[in-house]
Amino acid sequence: MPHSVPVPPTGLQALILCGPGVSLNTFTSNPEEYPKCLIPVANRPMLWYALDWSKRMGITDVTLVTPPSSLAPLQAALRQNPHLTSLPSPSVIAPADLEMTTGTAELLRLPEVQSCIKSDFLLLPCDLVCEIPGESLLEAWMVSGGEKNRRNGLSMYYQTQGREESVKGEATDFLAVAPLEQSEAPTVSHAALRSSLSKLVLSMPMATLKEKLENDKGFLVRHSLVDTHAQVKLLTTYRDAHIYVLPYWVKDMARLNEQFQSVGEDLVGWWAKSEWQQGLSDKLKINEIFQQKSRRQSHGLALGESESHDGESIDGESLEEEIDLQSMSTTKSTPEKFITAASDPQFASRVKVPASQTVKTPKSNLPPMLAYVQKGTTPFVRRVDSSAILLSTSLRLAKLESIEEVGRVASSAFAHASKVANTASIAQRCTVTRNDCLVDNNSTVEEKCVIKETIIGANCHIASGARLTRCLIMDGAVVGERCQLTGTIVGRRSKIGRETVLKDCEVQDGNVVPDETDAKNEKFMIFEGIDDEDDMDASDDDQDY
Amino acid sequence: MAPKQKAGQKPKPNSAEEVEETFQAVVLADTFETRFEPFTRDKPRCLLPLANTPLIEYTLEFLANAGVEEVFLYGGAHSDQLEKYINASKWRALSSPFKQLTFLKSTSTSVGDVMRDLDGKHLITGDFIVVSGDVISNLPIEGALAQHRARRALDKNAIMTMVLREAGLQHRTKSTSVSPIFVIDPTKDRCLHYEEIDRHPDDEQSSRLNIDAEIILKHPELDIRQDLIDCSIDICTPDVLSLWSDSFDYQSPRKHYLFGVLKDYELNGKTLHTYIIKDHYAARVRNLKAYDAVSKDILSRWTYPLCPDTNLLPGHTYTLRKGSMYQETGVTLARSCVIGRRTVIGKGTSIGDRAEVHNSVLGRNCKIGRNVKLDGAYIWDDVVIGDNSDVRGAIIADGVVLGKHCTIASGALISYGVKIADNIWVESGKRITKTRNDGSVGKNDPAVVGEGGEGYEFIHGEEEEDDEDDVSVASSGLVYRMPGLSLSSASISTLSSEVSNTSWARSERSSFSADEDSDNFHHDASVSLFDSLREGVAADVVQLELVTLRMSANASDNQVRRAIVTSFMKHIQQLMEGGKGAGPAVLSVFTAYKEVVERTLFDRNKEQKKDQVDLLLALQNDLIHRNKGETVLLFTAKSLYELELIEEEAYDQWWNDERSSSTEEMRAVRSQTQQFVDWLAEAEEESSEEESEEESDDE
Repeated sequence: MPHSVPVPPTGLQALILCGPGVSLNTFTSNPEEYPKCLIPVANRPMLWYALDWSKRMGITDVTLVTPPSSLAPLQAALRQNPHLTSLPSPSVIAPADLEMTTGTAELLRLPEVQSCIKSDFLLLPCDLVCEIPGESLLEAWMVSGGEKNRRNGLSMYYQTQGREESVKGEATDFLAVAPLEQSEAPTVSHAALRSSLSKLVLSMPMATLKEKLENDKGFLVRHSLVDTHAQVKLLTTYRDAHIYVLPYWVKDMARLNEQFQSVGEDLVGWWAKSEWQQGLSDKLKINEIFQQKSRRQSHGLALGESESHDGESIDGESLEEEIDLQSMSTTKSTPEKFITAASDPQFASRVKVPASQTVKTPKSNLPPMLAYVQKGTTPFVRRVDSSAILLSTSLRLAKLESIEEVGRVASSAFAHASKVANTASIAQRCTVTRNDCLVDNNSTVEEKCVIKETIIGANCHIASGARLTRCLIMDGAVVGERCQLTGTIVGRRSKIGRETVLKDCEVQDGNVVPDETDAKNEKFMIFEGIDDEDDMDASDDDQDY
Repeated sequence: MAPKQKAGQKPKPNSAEEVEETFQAVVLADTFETRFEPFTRDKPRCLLPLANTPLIEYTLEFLANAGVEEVFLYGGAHSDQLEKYINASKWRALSSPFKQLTFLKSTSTSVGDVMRDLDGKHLITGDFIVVSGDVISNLPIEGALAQHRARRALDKNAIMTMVLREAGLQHRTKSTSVSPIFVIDPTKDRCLHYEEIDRHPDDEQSSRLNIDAEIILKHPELDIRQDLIDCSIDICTPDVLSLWSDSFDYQSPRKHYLFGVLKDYELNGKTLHTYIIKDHYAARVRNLKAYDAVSKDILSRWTYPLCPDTNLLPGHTYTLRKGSMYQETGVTLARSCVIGRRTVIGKGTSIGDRAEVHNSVLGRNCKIGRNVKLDGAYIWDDVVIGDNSDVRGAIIADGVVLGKHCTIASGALISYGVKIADNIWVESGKRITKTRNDGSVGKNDPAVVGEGGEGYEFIHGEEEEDDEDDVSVASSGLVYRMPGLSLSSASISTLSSEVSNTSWARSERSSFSADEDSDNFHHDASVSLFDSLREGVAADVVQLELVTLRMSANASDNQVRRAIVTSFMKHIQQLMEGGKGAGPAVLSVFTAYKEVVERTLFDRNKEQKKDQVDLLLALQNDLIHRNKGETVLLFTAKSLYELELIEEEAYDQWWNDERSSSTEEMRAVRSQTQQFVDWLAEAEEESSEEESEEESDDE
């Protein structure tokens, strides 16, 4: 896949939320030193994938949002890490009130973040690995309509099951989508995207859904939903990729709704609901925002006192720049009158809305929240939010053919220059399966090692006779002689004693595993107390960004 | 003649020769609804003309296209007329595409009864189609059938495939008062949940659908569809019928059967599937609004080849002219009359000077006077309309005579043979008829039809229609009145059965709502009892559970007994299928759960053993449909006696109760028990003799 096609700037800005990573706590126990976004996925810091993705889709204005405590290591990494320095450097903000447990929607309300948002924006998690061309996604969003200043939103969902890197017990989200009417479906160059766009009408994590099912004794569907949308698809094995393309006005929605905690569950969830549930858009003060906007536009007034003078002027600028792409599209004719004609089914003459159904919410009021639901399992999209996925994703990426092998054009955007770095030294009499392994700079593999499906970071040392299968060895780790590791993640600078046998284990950074240990499904951590928290599934992760 | 041949064609034990089976269809000519009143007082609904062709013709044509070889036609009301019609029709001729066309009469009052009757007759040998007698469709069924058979080959439990037509959110043939909601697993085309939304404005039912948590959690992808037109074309296997028989309280094919069978998936393990079509036409003339809509579709040729110019009936000579005008030969048009688009005019009809006809269907031999304006009117045969009259969006049946200067407002229905005097204004939604419910001619009402007119206003319930279906009783007189409805010619609701619909819906609900709790109770209780029996839970636990359920649903003793009977018999049957003899099976179950049964009988010390009789009746009723029901009844009677649950007097009272011998089936099922009752009677006599002897001794 070509990955360096020059893309014109989109006028969008991206916010990448660099959170603490609760569910990866084996490796993020000390976010002050080593935040989640720096954990390597296939020998690159996680953050690289999100930054690279934004770069490829042509977003130049990228802001990282991080708690103040993690600011120092993050900035250091941005300056020093060879992978990160190769990308245009993003700006970093660390709002004073941002804590490790702040919800994503709460984050949007923080004054620093509010003033930072100056146009339509893209909200990304730092743990995203996405191969879907972002520019197509943006293109789909741009032509999907919505009047000026009333743009739609777009979120993305991917299938969790039946993939190569699927793991057991993965967290999923529940979503309900309705198909777009023929006239609403945008024409996009990327054909797969077009068929996968639909209107989001419900969204919540599976954990919330299960709770609801228990309380309500069944799944209750409001009649107004089926009245508004004749076809509703319920999906339970998909995962919210936490990629949100949000229009500028959402900034105000986030600010005005103090009850929102997370973007995924609350902001997007409520927005999706208000599309069909009557009166909800009033409750969410969305109508208020639109009225204000139009007033402000006509009078040229300021948005509000909270806005700084600076932000305002830039604000006005970006609004002026906004172009109605929809009307410029030649393949799409969306004036309202055509909609009625096209949505009329195949049966002859005009059909009047029967009296009993006129109670429907007027559609025009609220721009819909769109959902891109990935069909099938390619291209690759994943959120790396648990150790198991970290391992499976890394291994999957390791299988990509390197640039060295197939050339720059044919290789994937995530391909490494070569599978085994030039500076790595690998002894003669050992086996390293090149098609599914990665070995980074300055690592040593001694004689008689057998290394299969394994990723070895920089400056590692694998002593002689070790057998590594499906392992992830992070930077600077040392694996002792005749160790047998299977499905194990070894943290940075940790040391595995000789003749140790580990299966499906996690070894924390800097930990020393004594010689001849034999363990299965264990976590080697310094603070054993944290272990309990490990059971908290990824739903926490949704709220604590 | 037909039934005799039938008798020879007993269901063979199906071996490898399944390929040979004939393709059968069941047509429900009567859907046991009264939405076409007052016309259905004179004629069966399926003979009402739609674009001058009786409804049943369209349905039979559809079946012929589908390659059906044997048709069973179930008549309801006026079945003699229908039979006569069928016997004279081309379907009976040598050239008929059907090898066999059997007319079945029944006294049924619901679709459920028909299906159970059909099951009892053992006529069905393989997969068959069920359609109602008002389906208009040009769909070739092969696709659905192939899918059904393929699925069936893989999984024996896939018993039914419903053909559904996809439409938009709004569609003119869609019913607007009750929207069916299907929850479908699109990967398997399996229907998982069915619910109807009742759109009545004063509705107090919850505004939410309730889908089982299980369904949500077990299926990664689900579609909630509200855009499907249910044209009630079902491809069924014989198992469908036995499920109807298992639940004698199922009445309607969707609301009860579909809903119930899906709910009971855990119990019966049967799956129901859907086949969704996106092109071709399929609709049901389910009410007057649909009548209007489908008429329009036919005139605009959506139903091709089922159009007037196809001349489905022998003797029809329609030709198509520009602007969707269909005319037969022999039409007399005055020079100055205007015939607009979308009109059908039958043979022998004459239209007077300066008359204007738009969007209308005129039957044969009508006389339309001068200066008459017709718009959206459905005028059947032999109608006379006087000069200067105006008819908009109304249905005028055969033989109506309309005076001069009359105005018939939209939504009015004028039934057979009504005469309306000059200068009468029939307000919208009024229904005028001559025939009373019992077929006699009613008293004329000059206030409605004018001096010298014939007919009176038809109001539902006016004649103490005591035991017609509950549905009709509750339909109010307001039915076709529709204040405040837009009446533009483009509107679908010119006939405004919108209102009729809703009121019908309300009536249905009111008649069912009382039973709703009890239905649920019956269902819940029998399922939970059955489960407990199967797992062998102790009697006191079962009793406790039953009491809880009963309290929460406020169920009557009768319902409790019914639930017990259903679950016990089901369990006994299962035991018997597992190889146990009827006697031991019955005895073991009743011995183990004696207490449960005992707690439902409160008439031990009374003269009239009402409760015990009720239990026996419920048993009898349940066993009609079960395998070896007669034997089980005998053994049950015996066991109940031995366990002293039921006393001799009760048996006596039961045997003499007319309910226990009301139908053929009831009599059949109790036949074997005769010997036991006889034996009891003798024993009783002896004992009473002894008693009286003792008494006399005392004296």
